[in-house]
This record gives sequence, structure tokens and C-alpha cells, in this order.
Amino acid sequence: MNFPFRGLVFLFSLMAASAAFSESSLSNPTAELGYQNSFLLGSDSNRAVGSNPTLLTRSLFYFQPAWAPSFRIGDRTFETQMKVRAWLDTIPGGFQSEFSLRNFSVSTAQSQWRLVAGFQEIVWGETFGFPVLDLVSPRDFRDPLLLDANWVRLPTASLNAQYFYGQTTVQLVITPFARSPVFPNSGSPVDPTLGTPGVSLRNTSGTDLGGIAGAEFGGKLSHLFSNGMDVGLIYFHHWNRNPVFRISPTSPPGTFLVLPTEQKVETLGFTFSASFDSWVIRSDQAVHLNQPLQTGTLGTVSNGAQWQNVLGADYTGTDEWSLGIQLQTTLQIWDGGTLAQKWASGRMTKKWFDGKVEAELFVLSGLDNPDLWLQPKLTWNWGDSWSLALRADWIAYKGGAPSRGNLWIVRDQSRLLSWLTYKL
Amino acid sequence: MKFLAAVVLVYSISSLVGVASTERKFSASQILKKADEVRNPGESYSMKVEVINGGTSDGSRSLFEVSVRGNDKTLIKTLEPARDRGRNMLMLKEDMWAFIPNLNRAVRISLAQKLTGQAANGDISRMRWSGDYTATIEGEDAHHWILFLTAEKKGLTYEKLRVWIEKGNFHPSKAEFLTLAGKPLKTALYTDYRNLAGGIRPGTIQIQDAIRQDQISSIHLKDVRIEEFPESVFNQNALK
Repeated sequence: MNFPFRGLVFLFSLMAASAAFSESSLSNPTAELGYQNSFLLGSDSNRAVGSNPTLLTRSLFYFQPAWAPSFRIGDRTFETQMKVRAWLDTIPGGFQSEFSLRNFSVSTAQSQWRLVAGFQEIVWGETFGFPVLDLVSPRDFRDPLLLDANWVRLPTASLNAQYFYGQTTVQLVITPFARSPVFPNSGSPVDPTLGTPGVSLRNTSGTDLGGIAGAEFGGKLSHLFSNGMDVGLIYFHHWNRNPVFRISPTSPPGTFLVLPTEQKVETLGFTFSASFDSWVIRSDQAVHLNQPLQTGTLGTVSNGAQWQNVLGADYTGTDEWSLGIQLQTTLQIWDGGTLAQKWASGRMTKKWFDGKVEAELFVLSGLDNPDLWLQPKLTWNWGDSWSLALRADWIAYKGGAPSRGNLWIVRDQSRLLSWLTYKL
Repeated sequence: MKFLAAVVLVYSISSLVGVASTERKFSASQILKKADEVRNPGESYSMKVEVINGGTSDGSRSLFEVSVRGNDKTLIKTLEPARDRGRNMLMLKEDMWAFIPNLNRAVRISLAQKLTGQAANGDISRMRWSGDYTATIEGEDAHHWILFLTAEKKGLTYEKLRVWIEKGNFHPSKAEFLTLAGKPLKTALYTDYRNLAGGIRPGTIQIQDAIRQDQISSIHLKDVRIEEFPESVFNQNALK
């Protein structure tokens, strides 16, 4: 019995058990069936897919059921959320599969507070593209071009408590056993060591983050002012969320391993959004202290501080179209150097035929670095349940030092992705 | 006989005068408040809202679960169609957030933004006019007061409205949603009056585009029930 199948059996058992105590039985079961297919375009010979395709070059089927039964103990109602994802990726000569628990949490609330315990995603921040304050959940970096946070955000086993006082919310989050990000596999198309003789990436699934001593914790204080401005202050003590790789000698002599660097970081953040008629102005700012920084070439790591700032505006037109623009800046300071970079990005969407056809264009361009990324997307929705999205990711790395910009790891990795979904 | 006729005449005149004086004694804001009481069963309630888009579109249907507290807190959960499930919305005062499932987070939207068909977000999230609009009596006919409403706040669904309210029972029967310049955007008809949550209320609101008159959406209110909600329901984290 393979792991995905065992996982599904386990989940169904849990659900059956919960149904036994549930007030509404297996209420609100939903599911999503999907198929994703992607082709890499224009990759250079060093970055050929080889025999180890991963999420970037996929032809995968997935099944994602979710349940939300509730039950009562005494006078108190508890709501549970359960969601899993099982996927099967066909590769030459076989397949690879994965089972992941996306949500397994229980929540209860009274008039002024709410408590959620268990495996969950906690989302902070207001921005798209590179979300600088979305820190609580680590990320899956195996497909750096996938902006769908629903896919790349990794849920954590956390305690999430919120207290509501008028328009003020206090949120405390504790993740007793931290979870590390998922990095590209060695030999995959986004392996940063591909094409470098004698250097290989170490596969790092299940990195030990120190048990309870490596716990992550923090909180958010937010207030909605009467003029509509929503302001939040954030503190989070966590493992670094930026992918940084260090190099280590290994045997035989003259060969090296590249490993992800993971260390504790303190982040202070500020977020706000305000709406003015059809416009929404928003900003996320984060200062990361004791942040590992990839300085110079791959393998060179320095400790320092990083200030990330995103200022954005969204306009919603009356005829089913919207436009979002963002300016992102980052300043890194470490012993021996500083690095400042800027990007501009935009996202435009338009719907036709009462939402049956949707077009979207995302563009990100480095203003003082070589990044250029265009992501056009066309979605066709039919019936109540079907959607087909065709998406391209065109990465035109504009040259320059490979350590500059954020997209150097996926340079020459333009691709076409088709994504079919059926929701029950 | 003459005496009897005189008594009937005097009674009839006094009755008419009485009715007229009864009607006159309501100010525009009082009429508006009573119309809101017709549309809303209480301070805190829930309902299922079905929106069917007619006209040139192919009759697409959406179903929402709406939780309302006062005029400034509403949670809308999308139940159908299945592909839109999870696109939930939260209104706090004049601010609104929508949960985008593929981003798995909430983004800000406006009340005036289209929900589906001719229905705007505010058409189902904000069911009270009183407190949002300044009303004046623009005119009246034998059966209706015609009120002209001007937005008191920024960010409301419509800048101006013209509303027809039935005399006697304060049932809204028609509304014109207007631009800031006073041009009609849409027309709404309040029909299908029936017993909902202990009162006679409009069960259907039909909204028609003022220019493309074949563009019509029907909003059907179902399963309206008075219900209390904890504060945590009206929070961005409840949008998931």
C-alpha cells in the first residue's frame, strides 16, 4: 500500500470517526479533481529535464477532498476543517506520487475570541507576486513560477488565537514544531547547481529544526479605522523563509554539496490597506533581523538585515476588469556590503460572458536588476464545476550578475501550463 | 335621510382627511426606516440568496449564504456554483474583502463591484438604506411615496437612488439606482411579498440594467431566519 493510499485511508478513518461525533454528519464535503500539464520552453542543455521531472515539468493528476464537520461538547460548538491532496505525476518509466495534509484543524469561538488548533495555513499581508509578510507558512519552492499560494504555501501545526475588541483584533500564533520549506530536488530543472561540475544539491526533505526549541511564535495587532484604513503590526520569531544556499566540501575531495541555510530570524512588519471608491491602496513592510543572505555567488552566505517594502494599488473597473500595480524594494545590509533592488509588477484581469472567460496578465520587471517575467493566463469556466486555464510563464532574464534579481534560478525556464479542474 | 347622508359625508371626509394626515405625518427618514424594517427581519439574521441571471446570458445561477448583523457587518459565503465555492466576502462598515481561493487570502473589493449578473456586492450585503442615505420626499402618487436618496458616506453601492414605497404598508416596490450625475444605472423591482421570518417581506428583487434592458438578474431570498452571531464571524479569518 503506497503512501498516498495509506494517507487517504487514514483521512477517511478520521473523518468517519469525526462523523460519529459530528452534529451535522459529514457536512459540506467538497472535492477538487485536477490535471496539470506543463512544458518547458527554451531551456538550455544544462537544464534539461532528464529523468527526474518535478513540479515544474509535470503531467499530474490530483484529488483534493475537504470536509468541514462540526460537533458539540456541552454547549460549545467545535468546527473541524479537513483537507488533503494526493497527486500522481507521470514520468518516463513510471510515476511519482505525493500525499499532503492541507488542513486538519479544529476551531471554536465565543463572541470575542476564536481559537484554531491544528494543521492550518495562516495568511498575513496584502501583496501578490512576492508576499513579504506571508511568513507563518513556509513555501514549496519546487515550482518557483507557481503563484497560486494555495499550492505553494505549506500548512503548519499551529495554535492560532484571536481576540476581537471592536475593530481591533489581536492574533497570537505558536508553531511548536516548525516546518522547513520544500526545496528543489537534486537534478530537477530548478536545481541551482545544474551545470556546475563537482557541485550537487543535497536533497533536504524533513530537515530537523530543533524540535520544541525551534518553535516559531509571534502575533499580529490589527485595527480597522473608521475611515476604512486597515492597519496591522506584526512580530514573528521564525526560521528564515528566503531560500539561501551554502556550500560545503564533501567526499571525494574537490566535490561540494549545496545545502539550504536555515536559521532563526526576527521579523517586524507593518501592513495597511485603504479603499477610495474604486481604488485600493496597500502596503506591506518587513524588517528581517539576523536574516541569512545570499551574497555574491551561490554558496556565499552572510548574516544581516533585510528591509522589504511593497507599495501597491488596485483599480476595479465597472466592466469586469481590474488592474493591480506594485512597486517592491528590498535593501540588504551585511558585514561588508549592501544591496538594494527594485521591481515593478502589475496584474490585469478581465472577464467576459458573465465570468465564463477570464484573461489575466501578470508582469514583473526588475528596475535595477535583470528580472523579467510575463505570465499571461486564459481561463474558461463552463458548467458549474469545470475550469480550464492555459498559462504561460515567459522568463526573460535580462543578463547581468546571476546573484542579482530573484529569478536567476529559473532563467531560461519559460513554460506552458494547462490546468483542468473539476469541483464537486 | 338627509341627516344620514350628511353623517356619511362628514365621516367620509374626515376619514380621508384622517388618512391624508396620517400619511403626511411621516417624514422621509421615517418612511425609509419603516421600509428597512420591511426588508430586514431584525438586527441580526441569516438567509440564503439565490441569484439567477437572465437576459442574454444563459441563466447562470449562484447561491450564497448571507449572515447579517446591523447595517455594517455581513458575511457572504458562496455555496454555488461549485467552481466559485470559497469566494466568500466580508463587509465591515463600507469596507469589503473577498477571499480568493487560489491565493488563499482576502483582498479588498468595493460594495459597487459586480457580484454576478446585474447584482453588485452591496445589493445583498447591505440591505438597509437608513443611516446610509439622506432621504427627501420627491413626490407621491395615490399608492406610493417617491423618495430621493443621496449617499451620506463614501464607498456605498450607489451614489443616489429613487425609491417607490407603498403607502400604508411601507413596502418598497421599485428603486432606480443612479449615478452621481443622476443618470439611471439599474432599476430594481421588489416583488413576491410573502411571510419571511415573521413578517411580510419581498422575496424577490429583480435588477435590470438601465441601458441594456435585456440584462436582468433576479435575487431570491430564502430561508430567512433571525440568528445571533459571535464577533468572530465578521472577521477576515472567517472568510476561508
